[in-house]
Amino acid sequence: MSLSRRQFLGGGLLLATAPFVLKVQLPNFFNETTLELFLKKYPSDVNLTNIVEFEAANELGDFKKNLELFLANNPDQSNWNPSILEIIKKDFEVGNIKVVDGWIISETELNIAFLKKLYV
Amino acid sequence: MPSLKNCMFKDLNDLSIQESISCDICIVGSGPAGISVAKKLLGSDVKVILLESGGIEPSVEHNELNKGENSGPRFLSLDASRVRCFGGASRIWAGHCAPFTKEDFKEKSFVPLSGWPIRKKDLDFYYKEAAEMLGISYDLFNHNNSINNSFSGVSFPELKGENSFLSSFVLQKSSASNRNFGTKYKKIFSDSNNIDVIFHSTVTKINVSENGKHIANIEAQDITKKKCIINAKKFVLAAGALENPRLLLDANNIFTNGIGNEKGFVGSCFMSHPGVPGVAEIFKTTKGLCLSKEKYSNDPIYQFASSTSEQLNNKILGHGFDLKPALDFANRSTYSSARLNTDYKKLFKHLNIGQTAEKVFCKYNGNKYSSNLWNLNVGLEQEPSHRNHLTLSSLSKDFFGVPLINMFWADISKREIVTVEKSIKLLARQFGRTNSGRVKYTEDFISGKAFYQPDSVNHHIGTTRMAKTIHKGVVDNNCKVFSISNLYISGSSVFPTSSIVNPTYTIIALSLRLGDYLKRSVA
Repeated sequence: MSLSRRQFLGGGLLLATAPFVLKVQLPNFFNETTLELFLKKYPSDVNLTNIVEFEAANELGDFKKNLELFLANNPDQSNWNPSILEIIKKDFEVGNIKVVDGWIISETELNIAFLKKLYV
Repeated sequence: MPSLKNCMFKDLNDLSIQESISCDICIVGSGPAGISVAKKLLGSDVKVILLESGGIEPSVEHNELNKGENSGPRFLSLDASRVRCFGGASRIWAGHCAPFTKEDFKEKSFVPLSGWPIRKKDLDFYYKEAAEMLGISYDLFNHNNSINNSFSGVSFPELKGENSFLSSFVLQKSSASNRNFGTKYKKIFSDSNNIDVIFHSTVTKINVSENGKHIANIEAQDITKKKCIINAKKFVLAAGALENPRLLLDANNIFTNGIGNEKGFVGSCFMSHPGVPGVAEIFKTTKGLCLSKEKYSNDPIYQFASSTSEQLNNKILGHGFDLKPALDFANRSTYSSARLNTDYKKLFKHLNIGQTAEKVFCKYNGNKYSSNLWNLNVGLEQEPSHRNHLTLSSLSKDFFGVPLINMFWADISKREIVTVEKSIKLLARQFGRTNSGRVKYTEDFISGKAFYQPDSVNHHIGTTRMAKTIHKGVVDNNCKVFSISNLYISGSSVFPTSSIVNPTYTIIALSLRLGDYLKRSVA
């Protein structure tokens, strides 16, 4: 069986793009957890260079569990960022804020930034 | 004892002025305070002498008399915002007006020595009259609706609203022709039948009666050292918050510590409005806006601050946020060599070529650009404290032999630093809860460098404070010195606390009130 030039190029293109398509559509195919997917996609407005100074490992553990639970209960990815944003707004509302690198940010933002540092 | 017969502008050096003259009320100083007190007495039966150290126009030799010494860690230019001539500091004043708030007059449990013996309602009538003198609208201060059209309101809609952590206050600017009392009231006073303005009469001594209960007379001299003694039923010191205590402290013929200084408050509790520049950067989540002239108004100015309830909850002092668009290549001022030398790192750090081009285009079309990147300066109310005080120099004297002022202005206090820190957090929370921006403390704030900038505000407040009793101040609620029956003080030296707004509008209102009181009491 011989391949035409068109089939050869088309097949090559398909093979080349397949991993990217699969990675987006099927994260677990690459052993990427939902948490990692969320963290990778989550936009970061603030650039925290000295985040290693953050000393709330216990709180972070709880936060991670709660975030994983939230992601598991909300399979629709389009709801993730708006829901998290509401939590962040509430943080600012009630004063759950931290100062890191001069940035005045919400505790949720900081926890996400820290998880990003660990997992992405 | 001869009296002045023909009222007009006079000069101490005139032959017509005798060695001793008399009147009902003698006012020392023809700045905004002195003119406002005298204005209430215009056309009355009360015979008034208004003494002015300088002439009708400023002169270098008279302004030399303003010089003094600094001995504290913070430097205060003692002659920068003082002018010895008719109209005084009103000639160089920028004209920003706002009344003190109701809360400014109240005692705050966390601010020692706070609280006025009068309330805002006692001044409201005079605030209205002062507004007329300055050509501004008193009603506008009580109606915040125009914020929606102001540049601040359009640029920061997210900071407004009933539930905001912040509130705003209005600053109106009096026009040059209205705020310069030297030119505005020149003709009115020169035509007066009951007020004599005597120029080149620098008060060099206040003499207390032998029983120590009232002022016997005051001595004034001109630059040739010609002396004149002024006798009056009542005396008003309206020479500013540096000169008023200086004259009291030097009046030691009966009291070795000076007049009204039984409890050590004369010269004490000096306050200004320290500016703390470049404390934070604001990164708005929204895009920059190009605003045409129809979309905003520059007058009045609206300034944001933490709301009163948040100030009380957080136990912080009054303050005002001064939001300035961040420096970029579209600002003409960027190209001054001084700014390029100091700020070039910031320029490149936040360089956004697209936005700079948009901004240049916006300005080219005659519009104003509301940036998405802002710098924050904070103006502070200073707490009254004995740490900040002026005394008389033990070494140096002026041309007339009067000791110079020695100013000790202490480092910024812990509460003042906490006020800046907490107020920025409240601003950040308001941006965060509306998801309209994020706030970052600058390196200058974190290192503390921002708190040690030279003072450029030059508001002189305190030093002969008003209080309920002699144990907490120098003058009573009618501005009369507690221990002297016929001596009054007008001006910002009697303010027990400084608020955050410019003092001149309140100086004028308070002086009009004193003028009314004197008119009634002399009559």
